[in-house]
Amino acid sequence: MTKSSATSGGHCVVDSVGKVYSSSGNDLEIVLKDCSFEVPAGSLTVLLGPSGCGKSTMVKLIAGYETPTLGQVRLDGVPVNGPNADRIVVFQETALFPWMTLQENVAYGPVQAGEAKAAAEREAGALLRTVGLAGFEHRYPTQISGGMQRRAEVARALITRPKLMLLDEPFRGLDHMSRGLMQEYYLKLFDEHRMTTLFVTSEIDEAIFLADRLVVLSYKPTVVKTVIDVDLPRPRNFQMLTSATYGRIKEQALDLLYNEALKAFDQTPAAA
Amino acid sequence: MTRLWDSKLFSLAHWSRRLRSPVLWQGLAGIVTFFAVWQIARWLGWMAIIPSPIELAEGIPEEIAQTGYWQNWIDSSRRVFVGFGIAAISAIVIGVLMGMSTRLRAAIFPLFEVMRPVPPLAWLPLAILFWPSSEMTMAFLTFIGAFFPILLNVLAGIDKVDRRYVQAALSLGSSRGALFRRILVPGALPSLFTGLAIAIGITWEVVIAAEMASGTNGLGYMTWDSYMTHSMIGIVLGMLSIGLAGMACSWMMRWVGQIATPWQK
Repeated sequence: MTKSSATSGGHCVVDSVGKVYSSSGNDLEIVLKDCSFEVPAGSLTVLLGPSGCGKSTMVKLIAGYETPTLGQVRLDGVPVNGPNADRIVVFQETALFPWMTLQENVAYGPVQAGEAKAAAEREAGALLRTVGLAGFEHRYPTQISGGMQRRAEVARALITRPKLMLLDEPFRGLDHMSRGLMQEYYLKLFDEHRMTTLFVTSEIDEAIFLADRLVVLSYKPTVVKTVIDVDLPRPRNFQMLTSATYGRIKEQALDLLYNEALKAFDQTPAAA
Repeated sequence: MTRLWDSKLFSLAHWSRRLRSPVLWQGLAGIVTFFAVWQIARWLGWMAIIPSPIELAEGIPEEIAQTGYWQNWIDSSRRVFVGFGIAAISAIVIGVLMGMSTRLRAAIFPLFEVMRPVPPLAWLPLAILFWPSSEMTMAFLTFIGAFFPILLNVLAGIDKVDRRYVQAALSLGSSRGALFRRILVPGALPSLFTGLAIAIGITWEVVIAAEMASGTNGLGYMTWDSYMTHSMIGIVLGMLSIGLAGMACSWMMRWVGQIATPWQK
């Protein structure tokens, strides 16, 4: 990983995207309805919305695992058409391959890109050390803690230098303390690499603390409710969580989210 | 990868820990109690037809010393491994093809669903008529016994590979070949070994029955022959030998499985 590699491109446009699933019978479920937003190159854009509003679906569409029913996703002007190494997803639960050691996991992308195995593993080892996993290179994912798994997975994504990183609630399920530490850690990494990132979360504090821009989604039918620019300076620290700017943004976002969360609460079916 | 020499089997610390573990001694106590109850029952005059443990202990060495006893082990093991080996290879190949192609799966699966519930021994009459030698008949029956459990577990293993791993691999730029070799194969491996462990147990059941029905040697034949010659000791020795053989095979399978899937604890 070359430091401060100002990644070229990564400008992602979600253009009037809608996604409809046909569930049991002839019922159609509209998950996303006409969503449009942009992830500017080099920015950390956070997609914020209540649980179950279709954030993960949006990630799958951008990653190319699924195709939008309507509209289009473009990366640097090129329509997204299936998964590709220029977009990497860090999943909610770990998707580290359980049968590979951390080092093999992280080296997997470069090896697939044609790099020699020895060189890739050296690079992977070095990157693992920078995310604080020195000494764990030859462990299997099940042998390390949840927080460590998250870091290893971020490393696995970083090493391939994707144009766009998609993080789908990556710190969900970690305890409060680890979560805070991971957020700080992640920001440090971001400040170093400035890789265009779409970070998905339902946690408002996490969202504001990390984001350059907040894209707030509504609850079903899901549309982009608003986009808020977060003009907190970088590098950030936790003291900023008590600043006036932070308070103002939080109030604004909270107002919107509260109404949406209420809607979600009222009409939540069995699915969480 | 764990190497053979680093494995538990050769670790002194591991074995000394085993020796000190209460589980081992509880297991031994269970076995000892079983034989004690059996012996006492005989002393009380019950189950007079069955030799007592003491009679067995006296008689068995003589039986084992007879020419042919160890040959029976070899004969049965050969049948088990030939049938099991062919079943494993063909079930893995067919299972992987079915796992990769939905069309092939749709074409083959119903056929297998009809054949699967037919017990291996129900194939015996047809197999005797079809195969030119009883050796082939017996190997074929063990093959039938092992084939379906392995196949089903290979399929289940491929199906069970978490979609997130496939998605992550695709995002990381996997070629089709790499997706197969580095994601689907290791992902399905634990399930494959479950299938192999079940299958090896079934092969022993089948080979014994097949030998009783159409063999002229092997542990199953030996047990049956002991019955024909009224050798109670021979019958019990045959049963004990079969039990030990099956147990040894299961252990071996589990051990190979542990070496092949070192990420599973």
